[in-house]
This record gives sequence, C-alpha cells and structure tokens, in this order.
Amino acid sequence: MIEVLQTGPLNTVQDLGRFGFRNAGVTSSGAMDRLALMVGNLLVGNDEGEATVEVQTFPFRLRFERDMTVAITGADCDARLDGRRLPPWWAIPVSSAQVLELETPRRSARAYLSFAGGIDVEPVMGSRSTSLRGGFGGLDGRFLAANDRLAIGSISACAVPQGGFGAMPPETALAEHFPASEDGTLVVRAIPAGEYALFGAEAERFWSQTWKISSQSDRTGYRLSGEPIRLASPVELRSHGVVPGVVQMPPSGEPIIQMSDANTAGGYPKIAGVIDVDLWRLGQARIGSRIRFVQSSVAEARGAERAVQAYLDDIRRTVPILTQALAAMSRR
Amino acid sequence: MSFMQGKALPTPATADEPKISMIGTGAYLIEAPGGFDLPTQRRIWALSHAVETWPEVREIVPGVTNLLVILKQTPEEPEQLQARLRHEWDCARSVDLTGKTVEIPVTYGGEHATDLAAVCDYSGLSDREVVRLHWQGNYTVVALGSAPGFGYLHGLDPRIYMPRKTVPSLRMLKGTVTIGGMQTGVSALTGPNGWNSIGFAEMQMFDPAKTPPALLNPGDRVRFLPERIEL
Amino acid sequence: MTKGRKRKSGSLAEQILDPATLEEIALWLENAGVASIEIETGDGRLVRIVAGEDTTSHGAGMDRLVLVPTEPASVRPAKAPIAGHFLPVHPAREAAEATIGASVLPEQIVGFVRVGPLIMPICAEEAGTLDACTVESGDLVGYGDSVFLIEPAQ
Repeated sequence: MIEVLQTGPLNTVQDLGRFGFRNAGVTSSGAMDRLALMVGNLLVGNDEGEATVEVQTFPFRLRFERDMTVAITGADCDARLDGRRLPPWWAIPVSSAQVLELETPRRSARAYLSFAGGIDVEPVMGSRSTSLRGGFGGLDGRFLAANDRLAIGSISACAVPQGGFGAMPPETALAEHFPASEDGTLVVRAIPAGEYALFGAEAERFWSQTWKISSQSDRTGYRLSGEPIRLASPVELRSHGVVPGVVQMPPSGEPIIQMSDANTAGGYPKIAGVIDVDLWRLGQARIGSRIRFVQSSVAEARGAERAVQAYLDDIRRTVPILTQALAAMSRR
Repeated sequence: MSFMQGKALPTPATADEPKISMIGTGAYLIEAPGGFDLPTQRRIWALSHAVETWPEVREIVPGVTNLLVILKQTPEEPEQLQARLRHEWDCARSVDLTGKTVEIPVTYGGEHATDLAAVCDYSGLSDREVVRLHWQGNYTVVALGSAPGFGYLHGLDPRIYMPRKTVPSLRMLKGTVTIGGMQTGVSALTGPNGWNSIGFAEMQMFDPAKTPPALLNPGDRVRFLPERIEL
Repeated sequence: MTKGRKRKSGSLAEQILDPATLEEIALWLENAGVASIEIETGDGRLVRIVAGEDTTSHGAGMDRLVLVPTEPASVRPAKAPIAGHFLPVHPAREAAEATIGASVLPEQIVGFVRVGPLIMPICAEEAGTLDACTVESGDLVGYGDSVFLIEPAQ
C-alpha cells in the first residue's frame, strides 16, 4: 500500500488507456505523457503499461507502507525521499514509512510514479485509467485526495541498486528525432486533416504563428489563443469520431487540440492532426507556454516512431543486465 | 455491435465517392456521400463490419454517416490503406441491423424540461403537441458517442426540429431527454450540454460494470413511453 | 580459446581470475567497444582489464591485467559504480548535483555514469568537501575508477 499524504486536485491513476469502447462513447483516457509512463514501468521491472499515478498538481506527498521500488519519470519535480534529493527519470528502492515528496516542476507539466508490481486497482473495461468524466476506472473514478490508499501489486523483486538508477530522458536520448524548441516554443508536428483545404490562404497562419496554451486547457484538450483563423463560410459537419491529437477549429477561430480525455465524437472542422509520436511532448506542455505547428508527413512520423521503439527496447533489454551485473558486483 | 442477424440489402451504387481523410497518423475518417438517411447509415454499418476484422485496426467508431478507423500503428503505406478503405466502401452493401427495441419511460415537462418552451416557440406548436410528436416517433440508434453510452437517435419528426443552443446549459442532469437539430437522445452524463431538454428518463444508459456497458447499440430501435406529462 | 594459458599457472592473472573468465571478459569488452574496466579484488587491489586481441607470445594473461595504484590516503575517491560514460550533470538538469568546493554527505549523488540508455549514480562514500573531478564529461570510465576526490570532513 501507499498512502497519499498531500495532493492537489486532478492527480489520477492512469495506464496507457482504455481501448475498444470508443464506439460506445468511452474516451480512452490514459497518461498524457505515455512515454514517461512506459519508461517508469520499465525501470521498476514492470510491463510498460502498468498503472501509475499521474501527478499534475503539486506539491504531492506519499508514504510507502511497505518496502518496494518506485520510479519517478516525466517532469523534474525535485523529488525528495525522506528529504534526500533524487534525480529525475529515476528508480529507487524505498522502505516502509519513507515519504516521497514532489514539488512543482519548473519545466514540463506532469510526473509519473511507477511502482514495481503496478497500482492494483480493479480494471474497468480492460484498463485501470481514471475516466473523470465517466466517473469510473482508477480509484473509484475520481482524482486522488489526502489519506487515499492505493494497493500495489506484487512482482518478483527486481534488484534495483540501493542508490537507485535512471534512464536517459527521452528529450536527450531522442533529440535528433524530435524538432528542437525555438526560444522556449515547443515545435509540434502535424498533418493537415479533413477540412484543411476549406481554410484556404488562412491556413498559412495556422503554421506560421506561435500559439499560447490557454488556461482553459486540461487532460480533455488544450485551447490555444492567438490570431483567429476563420472559415470563409461556416460548415456543418455530421458528428464523427475523433482521437487525441485532432486540432479542431471552433467558430471562435482559436484551435482546440484534443488530448487523452478527448471526447469520442465531434463536429468542428478539423484543420490538422498532431502526429501520434509527438503527443507525449504536448502532454508535457504547460498552460501559458507556447507552441508552433510544423507540417509533417507519415514517413517522418514513422521514422520517429521507430526511434522511440528502439529507445524503449534498449531500456527493456538493459535494465535486467545492469541490475544483475550490479548485484553480482555487490556480492563480491 | 451485433451484425449476426444482419441481412444484406441491395443498394444502388452512389455516383459520389466517399471522402477519406486522416487525423494525425493513425486514424482515418471515411465520410459517406449524400444525405443523413438510414440507407447511408446502413452502408456505414456494413463498412464497419468489414473493416473491424482487419488485423491492423485497433478500434472503429461509426458516426453519423461516417466511420473513424483507428489503427494499431501508423501504416507504412497510407495511400494503399486509403485505397483499401475506398474499395471496401465500394463493396459495402447495406446491412439492416435487426437490433433490439428499447422502451424508455419518460417524464415529459417538469423541472428538467427547461427548453420545452423554446421548442414550442420555435415550432409554433403547443407543449402537448411537441411531447406527443416526440413520444410517437420511431427512432433508430445511428451511433454512440460524445459520452459513454449516449445514442444519437434518428427519426425525429421534422416539425419539432430544434437547433442546438448557442450557449450550452452548464449542468444538465444525466437522463435528460433532449433534442439537438434533427437528432434526439437521452444525456448520459451530468455536465455542459448544448441540446434542448424536454423531459427526463430514469433509465441507466451506461454501466461500466456490465458487458456490454452501453444499453444502446447502433441499429437498436427506441420508443419513448410517456410515463408522466407535467405541463 | 587459445592454448597455452594453462602454462601461466601462478601468474597475476590466475591469482585473480581464471584465464577463461579473463578471456571472456576481454572479448566482451571488445564487443561492447569498451577499452578497459577496473575491478576490485578481494584483497582491495584495483586491477584493470584491457580489451583487445591477444598479441603477446605468452598468451592471454599478464598483459591484460594492470594494477592501478590506490589514491593517497588524505583524499577519498568517489568511484564509478560501473563502466560507462561520465556525466557531470544529469541530462534533464542544468546544474550539477554538487559543485566543486561544496560539502557533500554520505550517499549523496555527485555525478553520473551513462550505460547505454541507463544512468548510474556516482555517490560520495563519506561526508566531506568535493575537491576535484578527475575526468572529463563524456569520458569512458571503468568500474571503480576514481571520478571525484573528496576531502573528508574533520
């Protein structure tokens, strides 16, 4: 068990999401930064998709009620274990009664806490992700509160070294496969979507300008503010399925990017779709930060996807080798 | 969806091609040509039925005369995939989903029917007539979406057509019976809602613990039973 | 496995590791593109194993083992926990965990070693002042290599 000692609102249990029920109106939910979730799980010896705590409001404190291994990935929250500083992207063995504390990150938005064995809440429709809107999944379909206790599954102990170890952060390890930020502006790759052509010459300003992520942004979607882009004449679309990453253009002319809790259906004109492999970076973008869209292609996206897969495979392969080598050395 | 008892109906080929577009790298939207009618919807269901079995497909989301196909991963050859979708549409024949009939008891009017007066104004009909035209309708579930278990119902009498509100209600109760344009439905979640409320139904439209969790399925028939009328 | 190693009975090589293991380690290092690693023997000596083809007429053994002198007693090393590339600063951070001249506590992380996609901490063994860093950023370090020198607290 772990006990939440202190938390802001909207911190939830998340895994990779709930699939197969979108045609019944059920959002996929799941981590906003799927890559951080997967790396955290691999570091503690889990399958990559185990349930984690997604922390997006701080400070967050929890107490371990038994010895276990925890990983902190995603945003650097200056984590402290009983006051001792831990690096980001780090896994470490912890003892019963120790307290882990996360502070507001200076960059990035969300941190993930993975526990060896995973968070053992009852899966709903095949996933442990919390659907806040639906009120199911995770811990009773709600966000975490102080005094909540979460069961942690059991796993054959993986010999994480006493001082812990970490993973190369994806921003560094995959730097050559993702566009660099420009003066703090996150560059997000997208592909024109269904109604792109209807925007005519206006579409140019979609790519050229820098958009700000407005305060009306959450796990459901990001509302962007900037110079509005409008259709010459309004279009009426029939309700259709949408996915995270779709960039919709409501009548206001300021885009909405649907995120992990994206509605399953929509009807606004779609100007673009963020390539799936860039969604984890968008999931770490903070309210008030700036983004710019750059036109991409399926071929470019495939290249980045292969690099991400190779990075994850490399971690999955190396963790047991490293932990076994260290265990062998410590026995000598 | 249950296609087990579906029987193929001959459909005249449409001259117009469907529109196929991408959302990001892993999702393709196929929009049928033509109007919002049941023959078109039946052909979408047939397409869904066929595409659902493709090994590279993770999920399908039938919409209103359209189908979103979500893939497990980004295809290496997107043009080839689009061509296959187009071919599948060309081959798709109408499927008549012989779904179940769901009867939903409704309290028309009363405290939750906050937009009934506006519907009367718009239609020029009395509240009794609006309510009667609504419960006398034979509805078909076209698609589920927008909220867990929410069914878009086709079959509204055009006389009680009512455009969506420009300013949504901030907290419409789950179970509210609503009209949105030419569609009607029972809201599945409490929250903001742009449709017009005319009544309330107690029936649970979605239960995450059940298999399947949604009460309604595309192709199901829906009848509203006027349990109480509070005017 | 080459012949002749058995004849080197009683050599430094065989005092520490059996020749087959030594040869295996050397080949493994070569395949991994690592030039050398250091191991600590049971009696506290640091021994460096060098990778590469055996070019000596004596066969594998002596030439692959180099004794590394231990640090002066006054300063204590913070050692690499494993062979890899030295990272003075965590790649996701802008500043080092501890700067030269700062006081450090036992088990405090002072730097990192990158091993492929993973990162291991270099920790201070006892309280003191971080005196010097003896290798450059990105340098290959071997297991047990001294990376930092720490002046023990009085």
